[in-house]
Amino acid sequence: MAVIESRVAPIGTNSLPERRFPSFRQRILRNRPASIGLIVLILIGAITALTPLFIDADRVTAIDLTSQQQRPSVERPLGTDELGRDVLVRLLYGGRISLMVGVGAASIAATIGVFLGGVSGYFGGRVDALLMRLTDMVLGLPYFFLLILFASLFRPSVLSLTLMIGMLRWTTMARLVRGEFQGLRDRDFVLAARATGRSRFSIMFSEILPNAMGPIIVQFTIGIAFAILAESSISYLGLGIRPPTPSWGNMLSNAQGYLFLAPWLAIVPGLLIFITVLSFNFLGDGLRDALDPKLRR
Amino acid sequence: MPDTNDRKAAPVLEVTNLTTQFFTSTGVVHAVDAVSFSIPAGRALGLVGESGSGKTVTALSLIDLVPPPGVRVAGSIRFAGRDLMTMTSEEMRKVQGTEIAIVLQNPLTSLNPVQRIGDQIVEIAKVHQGLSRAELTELAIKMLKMVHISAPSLRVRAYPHELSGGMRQRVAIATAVSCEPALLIADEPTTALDVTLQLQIICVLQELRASSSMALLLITHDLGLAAELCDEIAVMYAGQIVEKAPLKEIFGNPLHPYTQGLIRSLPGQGQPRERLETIAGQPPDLISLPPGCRFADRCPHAVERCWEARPALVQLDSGREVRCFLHDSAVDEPLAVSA
Repeated sequence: MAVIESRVAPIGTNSLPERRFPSFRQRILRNRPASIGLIVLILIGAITALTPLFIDADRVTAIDLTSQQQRPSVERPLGTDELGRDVLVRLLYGGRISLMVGVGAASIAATIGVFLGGVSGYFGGRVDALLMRLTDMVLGLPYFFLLILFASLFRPSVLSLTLMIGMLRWTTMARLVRGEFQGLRDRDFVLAARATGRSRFSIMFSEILPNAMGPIIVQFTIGIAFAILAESSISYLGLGIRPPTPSWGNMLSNAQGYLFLAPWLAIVPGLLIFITVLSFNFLGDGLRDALDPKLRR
Repeated sequence: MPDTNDRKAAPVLEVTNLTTQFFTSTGVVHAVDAVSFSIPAGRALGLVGESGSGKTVTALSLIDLVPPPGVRVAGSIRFAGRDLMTMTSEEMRKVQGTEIAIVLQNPLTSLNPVQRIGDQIVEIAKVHQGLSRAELTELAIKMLKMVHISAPSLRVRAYPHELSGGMRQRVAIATAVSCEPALLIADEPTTALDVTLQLQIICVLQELRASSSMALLLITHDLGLAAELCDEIAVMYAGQIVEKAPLKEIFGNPLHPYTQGLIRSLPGQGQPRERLETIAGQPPDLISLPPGCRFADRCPHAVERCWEARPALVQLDSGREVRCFLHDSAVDEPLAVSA
């Protein structure tokens, strides 16, 4: 066999240049609103998750008619409600439920949306037409009316409410993922992957999906914010999470009768919903910027 | 250099009357029309032609990746004793990547931007051979070394955007040959690169040819590139092969007027500041083909008959094949196509 002298010159030495791009973490932390949102969410998440370790669950529903509607004090930092229950305790436990519904419903919506949108965008043609008509149908459903109808027919639980919201709100994700997949499926690296005999689902989910993660994560955080609001709205109408189980929405609902007598009962859960939703939106925006390679600086 | 002793090895790939058509709303596009060729093991065939002559569609037809609305309507593709045309897509997937591999034109887009190059190189081995993680990394480093990427043990962890275009194309080649395919299809492997990087790619491909029995199908518009790498050249024009001959004869004595035009339009090295020759005119519309020779309108030697009848691809006494009335008067019989 002929020995060929390589005409390919070796490039550089054995060291690689330092990474020129800021890492993902640096990029997200450089974005002020996003990092504040992230910190706030971590705090809210950690505190509400750890609550049961420090505060007995009995205190959430313990009625004490001798101490109704007390103003905030050292013993009870956020006062008590109309049945003498500690507002702070209920707020912490309620936060667990609101966040669980929010994250759970957004995860369900994301799973359905990514799968249907991915299949639709990758295969195109008749499959696409069928799935997109289904999406249009679900999009056309008056989801809030359906939630109310569902809640008045059955006794809603945390699980069923999460499922309902998730199954009615996947359409935005499906359309987004479909668009991303349509843009990516004709790229050369997908053709290269197909030429190596990989299965369609392997190409869809291990080649294309990672390239679409940026918009998906953003949509996911927006979905969480949306689901928290949906749970709050439904519970506010008295049709979601039923008292005595607290959620931020039904605490707000309870408070409306005493708006002038005990304004803190409404202000605190309202403010928490506002801050949480805003934090998720800020984080989503920051993630979109950090994940977009064209914005790398 | 490839050895030149003329043993008649059994062809690794034997394509007969391959016909691929695109069924568009404006009509049937005859992209590949009764193309036949074969490549013996260890040999290299250059499929040369201008843009739109059906080279790439021919390549994609071989590995069953013709994009819709394209369909392979006729022909047979014998590869290692099997017919790829009649294979199910399951069987085909076992051939793709392990036995036939392809390198695409643009290295900037043919690698997945969010995957480490080491992972991409061994993807085929992972799917088809089931190696352990350590073995895969070892294979990736070995492949990077083979295509002369420096610091391979560090670069396996690099992302495509951290490499230059030439390096990315070498990575793409490494990916393609990671499972030692019997046939490598290289579709315009140097077109997107500048001239100095083209040399790198040529060298890598030459080394691969010298060190293995891999057959090469090189698809290019660049006769110069084909001359560097191939043993035999097939010239394609408007979906058909118009001339096929060993490399030396194509350059020494081109028979078809189109081939002659192609060679004349190559930039020479002796005469600076000379205007390059071109072939005047445009290739025919592949939807409504002329009744005569497809090159007649651009041919300097065309006679009346060229517009009236279609010349057949005939084998001359010397063994070369050419499709031109200047050399043989045989008329093409239309192929029975069952769509």
